[in-house]
Amino acid sequence: MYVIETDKLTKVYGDIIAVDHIDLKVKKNRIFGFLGPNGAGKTTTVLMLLGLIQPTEGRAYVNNIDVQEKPIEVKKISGYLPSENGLYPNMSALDNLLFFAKFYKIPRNEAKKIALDLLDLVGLKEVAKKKVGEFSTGMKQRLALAQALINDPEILFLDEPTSGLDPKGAVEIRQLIKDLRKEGKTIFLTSHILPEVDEVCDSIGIIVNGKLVAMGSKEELKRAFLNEKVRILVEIEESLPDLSEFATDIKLFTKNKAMIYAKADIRKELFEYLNSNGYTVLDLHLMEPTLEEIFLKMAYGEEPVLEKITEGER
Amino acid sequence: MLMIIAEKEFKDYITSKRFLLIFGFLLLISIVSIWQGYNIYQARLENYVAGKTKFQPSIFDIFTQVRNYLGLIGAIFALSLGFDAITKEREMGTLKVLMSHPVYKDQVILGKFLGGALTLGLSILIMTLTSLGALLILGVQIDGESLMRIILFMLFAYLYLLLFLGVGMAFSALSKNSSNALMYSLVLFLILMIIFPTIAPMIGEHYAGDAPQQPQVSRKEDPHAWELYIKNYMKWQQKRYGIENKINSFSPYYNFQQLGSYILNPYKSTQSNLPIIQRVISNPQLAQVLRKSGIVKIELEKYSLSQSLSFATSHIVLLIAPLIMSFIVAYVAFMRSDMR
Repeated sequence: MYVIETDKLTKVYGDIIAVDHIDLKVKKNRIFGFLGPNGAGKTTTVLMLLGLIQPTEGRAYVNNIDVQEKPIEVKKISGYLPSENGLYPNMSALDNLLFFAKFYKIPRNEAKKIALDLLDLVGLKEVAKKKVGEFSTGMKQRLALAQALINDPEILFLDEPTSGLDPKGAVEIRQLIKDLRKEGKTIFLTSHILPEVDEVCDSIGIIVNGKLVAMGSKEELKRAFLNEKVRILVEIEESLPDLSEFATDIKLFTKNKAMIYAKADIRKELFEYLNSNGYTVLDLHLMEPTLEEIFLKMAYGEEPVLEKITEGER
Repeated sequence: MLMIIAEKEFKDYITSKRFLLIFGFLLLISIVSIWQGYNIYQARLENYVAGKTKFQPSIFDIFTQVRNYLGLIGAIFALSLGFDAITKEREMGTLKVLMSHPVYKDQVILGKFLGGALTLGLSILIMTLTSLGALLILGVQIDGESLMRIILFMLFAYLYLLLFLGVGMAFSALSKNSSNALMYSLVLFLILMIIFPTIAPMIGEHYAGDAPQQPQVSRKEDPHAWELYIKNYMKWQQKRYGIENKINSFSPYYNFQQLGSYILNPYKSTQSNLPIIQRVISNPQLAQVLRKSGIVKIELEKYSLSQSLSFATSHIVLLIAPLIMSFIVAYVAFMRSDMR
């Protein structure tokens, strides 16, 4: 059961294909990280999922609702945080939230209570009546998140939620995102900050030049990456013997410590070889690929690996 | 949803420094204009009472300057409300956030129109009440018809301002950013206020050709030559002003000025063609001849409000048509635009 699903979703602006036939699938109560370099098509995809932009081709479904047919229904169950916060600077934090609450026909008193609770959640209750124009970037971003939550949405679309924030502000926003997932919300997060996606997201989609080049859980992506290139750190008490028959490449750190590059996980074979030849193995472990490595491989590597890693997600 | 947006826009407008500054200036200049007009009115009233003139002064004498300033500064005022109505929201990213809530795109643009229209409505109401208050303080006697003429003039002034609000919003919907929209609005303003009034008489004169030559002899010596000359001169003037007026009729400023004259001035009709008469009168020799010959009717008849309105019909149509056009352009441009 997918909360967000697209079928060959495409957006063309003149000669530029901003989003190119992407098939997204996001499960309920997940934090889905939509990774991609600047201008890759992340925001355009989000705007199409929210019904703010009409796709040139393809369909998008949010909670099984056809976005093109019933955009208002989608908006009722969604919250959106844009990268540029999108708040009215001449209005107070509270008035901003009360203004957006009006679109959900929430009675004034109830709306005020919800707004104050949200301001409390994002740590802005003390400055509820202060004009947004006087807020710092971090405060604006937190308020923008509160704005996205005004209708208690099932699905949150967060477009670069930590852009322009200092490290402390970014940590706070990430924690809030994790807390929202615990409340049962599905979060669609776009970012180009890899450690952030690595820390927060359960599953990831990588978009490059409008094309979805990879999608799956972090584990699936790593597994797919390991199928391509495996690194094993080996350290023994004695000097290392010739291990070239096992490796595609070897990087020697010291005479008894090296990184072995192979096409598959050969730890067992390596251990047996070293052990049977009387070497004392001090360390032998698989080096997990970082998300950065996966991203660079998927985004800029030559061979597409999408088919391999989406199996698990399906 | 429409009213939520309109209410916010209205509040934003009336609390903005831009509104307070330009509207404050417009109000101040209107009061000063009424004071100036009042002095002219008083002088003409004294002449009328003393029997020096047959023309009874009207509220037109008081409101001429108001009409002129409203045409110029009012247009700037309305453009200033409209030119960044959409681009500013795009630039701040607020449009995307607004549209991410359950609101239709047309509700956004219509809400903005309505908010701007309410702001202009309030402005015109304040100006009308201030003008009437000023007349009361100055002790000007206003009869029922003059009051109706003032109210009707203000109503058309409102339509005139709405037109420029629509034009500003159309530029805002079509432009990528506020500075572009401002530039287009200013260029249009300059075309309407400077280029049209400069070019139209030049084209009129060019099209009409050279003016007929005045006879070298006196009328007594050759009355037939003078009669022919006057007829040709009038024909030439009519041709010249006909072209000039046709070109000017593309300018809402000109239509508003004409409309204002017909509604405020009970002596003005489409037959009287004041510019021609004024030209003829400015030539003393011609004026003398005209008084005797009766070729041109100089004595002005006083018309009812409904008659004045019928004289102004073409200008009303030429004011309302671009108003509707500008709103349609703004609406379509906004509806077709992407929320990028």
